[in-house]
Amino acid sequence: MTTTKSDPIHIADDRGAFPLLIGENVDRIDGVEKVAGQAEFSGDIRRPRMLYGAVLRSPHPHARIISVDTTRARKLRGVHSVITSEDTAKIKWGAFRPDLYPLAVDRVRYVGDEVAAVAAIDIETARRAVELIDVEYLVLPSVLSMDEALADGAQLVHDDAPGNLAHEVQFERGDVAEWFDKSDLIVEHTWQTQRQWHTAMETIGCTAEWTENRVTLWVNTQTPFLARQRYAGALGLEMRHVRVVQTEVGGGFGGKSGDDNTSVICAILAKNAGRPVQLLNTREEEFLATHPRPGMKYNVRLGFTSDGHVTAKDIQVFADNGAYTGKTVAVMAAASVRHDAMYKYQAVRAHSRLIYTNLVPTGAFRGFGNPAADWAVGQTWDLAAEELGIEPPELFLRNAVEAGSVSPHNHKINSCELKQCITKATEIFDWYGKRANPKPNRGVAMGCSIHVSGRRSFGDYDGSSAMVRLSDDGRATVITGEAEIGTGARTVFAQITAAVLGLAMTDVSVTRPDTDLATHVLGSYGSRTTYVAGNAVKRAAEDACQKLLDAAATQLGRPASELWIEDGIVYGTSDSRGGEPLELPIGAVVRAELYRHDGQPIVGFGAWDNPSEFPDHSLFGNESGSYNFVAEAAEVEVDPETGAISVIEIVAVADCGTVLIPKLAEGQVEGALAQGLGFALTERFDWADGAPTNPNFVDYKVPTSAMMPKITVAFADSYESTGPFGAKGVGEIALDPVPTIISGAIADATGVRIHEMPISAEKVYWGMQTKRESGEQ
Amino acid sequence: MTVVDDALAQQCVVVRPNDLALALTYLASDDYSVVGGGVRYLLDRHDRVPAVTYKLVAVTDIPELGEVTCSDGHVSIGAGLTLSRIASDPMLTEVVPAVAEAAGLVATARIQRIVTLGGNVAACDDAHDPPVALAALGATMSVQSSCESRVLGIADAAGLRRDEIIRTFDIPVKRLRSGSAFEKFLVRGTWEYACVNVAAVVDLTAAGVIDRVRVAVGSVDGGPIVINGDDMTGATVESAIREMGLRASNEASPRDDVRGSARYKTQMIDTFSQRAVARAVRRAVDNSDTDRAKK
Repeated sequence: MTTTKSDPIHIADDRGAFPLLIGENVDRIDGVEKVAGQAEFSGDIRRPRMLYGAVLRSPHPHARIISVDTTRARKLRGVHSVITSEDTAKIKWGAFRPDLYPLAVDRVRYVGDEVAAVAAIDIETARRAVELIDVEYLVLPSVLSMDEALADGAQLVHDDAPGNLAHEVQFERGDVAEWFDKSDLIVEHTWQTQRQWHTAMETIGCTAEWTENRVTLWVNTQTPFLARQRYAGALGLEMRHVRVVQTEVGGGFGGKSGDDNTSVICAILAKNAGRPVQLLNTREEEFLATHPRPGMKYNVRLGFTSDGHVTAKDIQVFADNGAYTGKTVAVMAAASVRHDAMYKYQAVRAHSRLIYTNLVPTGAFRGFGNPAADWAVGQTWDLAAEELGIEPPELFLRNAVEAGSVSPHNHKINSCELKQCITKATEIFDWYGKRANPKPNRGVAMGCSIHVSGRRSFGDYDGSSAMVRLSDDGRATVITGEAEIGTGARTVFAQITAAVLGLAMTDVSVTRPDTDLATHVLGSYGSRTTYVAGNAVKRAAEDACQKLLDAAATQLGRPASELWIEDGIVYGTSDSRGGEPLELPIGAVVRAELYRHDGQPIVGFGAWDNPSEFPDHSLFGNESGSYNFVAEAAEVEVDPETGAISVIEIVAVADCGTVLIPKLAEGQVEGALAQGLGFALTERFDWADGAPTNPNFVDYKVPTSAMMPKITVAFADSYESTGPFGAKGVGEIALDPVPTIISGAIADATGVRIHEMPISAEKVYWGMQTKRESGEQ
Repeated sequence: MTVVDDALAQQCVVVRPNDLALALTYLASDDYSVVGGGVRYLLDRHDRVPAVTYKLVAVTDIPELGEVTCSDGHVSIGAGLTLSRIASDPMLTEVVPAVAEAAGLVATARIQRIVTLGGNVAACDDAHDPPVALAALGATMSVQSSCESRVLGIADAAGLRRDEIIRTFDIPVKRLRSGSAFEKFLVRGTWEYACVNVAAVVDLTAAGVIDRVRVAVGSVDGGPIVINGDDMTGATVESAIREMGLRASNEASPRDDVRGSARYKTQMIDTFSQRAVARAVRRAVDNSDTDRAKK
């Protein structure tokens, strides 16, 4: 099949030619509508007779609900519905361990737990009505940290979870004790991370409308089909009774992957009121009742030979589940195994425990478990490098995996340019120049990470599907349920389709996900969209292309193999039988294929499943078909009088296979670095009585542009044979090593290594003070 | 008259008089309150503070509240001036740099364009920056109601009555061999309340030793508190820097919060007080040239 006759823009030794558009900085297909304010986000949805919802939340971290009196709220003018758990199906739901009711039944388990909800004519009335609901609580003892939850005789968050253990994983692969015995150096430390909130510009929101016994939910979800399945379960409905339509998503980062009650409550309110209802989280609710990244406590023990080869790794992980189970089961899994696929460990052992606490439930966040793992294990590697007297880049190079490597957990590394990333980052950063000429109060560090491109998490399927419909106006429409969450996924689908079909980008549209209309997919998470969905779209486009050429061949009386498409025209050369050169607009081909007896539309179908394995209970299995990598280096400066940290420079070199759209890939890396800096340095709350004392942006300090250092983003020359045009995922990887490189650089500058994130100026200051008082240099 | 928030159950009425007397007449009735830029008002509305009023007198169109004058060792800043105007005013930057710096370090440029100096001080938030600089400089505020005028210290802002308008902030200045500076220590680096905010004013003698030194510290209990170095006349600059840092940290009572522990803030008050005094000294030295100081 031929799609273009033009010269390819890029040729690699064993990669073949890429068609036009691949690797080009094409414009986002949704850029204008977003900039012009025309894009419809969850709060922009308007339905006739729509009401507005508000939720009453628990003020206690743990309490028994004695009574709920909604009388006063119901009497308030403008109120149409007040619901409690008595109005729900009282079904527990959740992605991995169903333990969450749509509205609390008998007990509340964290400050923010949903108790009741109101639908009213406007949001102010709804909120005032919420304040008129009288709830009598019997406050119960609570566990407000993992240490408290693990103490002997601790209060149980859930009666069916003894020891407050929500999930546990253990494995040993290789003889860890033997490899530690063979080690010349053993480094062991404990590290702690904090919760991190997604802080998407748009909060979670839903609009629900019932038609007889079927509800349509307009949701800013990352995962429309998975959300439909979970919401149906929570509502006690069959899936056929729930339709999910994705609105624009103003940032996801894992926080909009369908673990929260907002849509479920919205649907119940709408049912109860008999009118459409819109329910949007306030910013405070976004902090109190969504699923931030879990805090983790991580004990790491690493062994090395004197010549710098890693031998064994032994970790103990405690992850804070919060009061209910979202995706932290899988987050902890990633934190337990993923890192082991990056270096050539001889033996690995882990014991990981997910702990219930009476705190905000935790869940998925960009990077999943990797940032915690890379922080803990990466710091331990940095300390090992120091002990061994080997520069970190050299130590990494001696141990980095390569294409063909297989991890102890059966991660099969297909394409791998980790060593190229390390080498390139070393050069761009001028690592050895900086090390040779140290500046006062400045330090440098390097770190690496590995990430999946999609992961088999929800049953033995990590696939995607798409349709490409060609129309008689010469345009192509990509129909897929895959979700755009601001990353540019729809633009990538359009680019792939345009490239395959030889169309202009402006001649390709991509529909928005609707579980009634679009193909079944899993959604946007796990850095899977470009790799997994991109393959499905590519196959659909190829199928459409083949069908188009077959139709043209019939219409033109030429073999399809002698035809090609370029700029929306089907061309054919003069043939050996004296036939004239041909050209026919593809719209004309489509039209001719339709307007005949038994006419047919030209629609291509494509499906693709990640060539991966569903990991078993001990996390053995090749979780993804391809892995992406990054090496990052940072330089920081520390004020010796205050501990204040200035990040001077970060260099990030990523291996994401073929870079399909450089500016979007760079944007993903830059955004991930910014989120990583917030995680590393500034994002935390003060807590009192089980909740943030000030759950808003006054206290929760996300990074601003003023905090950004000089950033250099580069990509490894890389090709993933299973990816669409050789591409892999890139959405998360760059966040992962940021905490460890910042912490390592601070240690290099000051001699103070912080073991508990975030790395505040205060912690560095006291560390320096302690050193001064002990007379250390 | 402007009606805003008309979608809400209770409408909010804003009047914009361009005359001080008319504004005071509105305030003489029971149900009007002064609003400057409106930031505090909107925050209270957001937080559903019960005492929020719904009839407001906006003072930003009153010409006499928007003037800056400098004469005879005295600077007067209209209370209706926005912080961005103050931060960019060449005369204030030259004569009372601590005030200009403080105004320019509040939150973001967007907020600085909204917030008035009067509103910032009247909010009585000990974390606010301009009151710290004004307190260090010994500023007073001229306050007027429909029936009386009075003069209050910056620390007396909590005593403002509902029917009063701050007209001007009046700052005594001594140009020759005098300098001031404001320091703000931020955890993130921008757009946040300070971990520590301090201001210092220094007058030097012709011999280059301390004539007068004073530091004000914000973001502490009872703040901004003023630490006078009146007993340090004749002290060397170096000893004054050290001593004022020590005194400030001893006298201030910071609180534990997300920006840092009280213990850490105490250390930082010492450090940043020293930095503020040191910068004020440098400015005083720069102003030692008689001709330059007269400009």
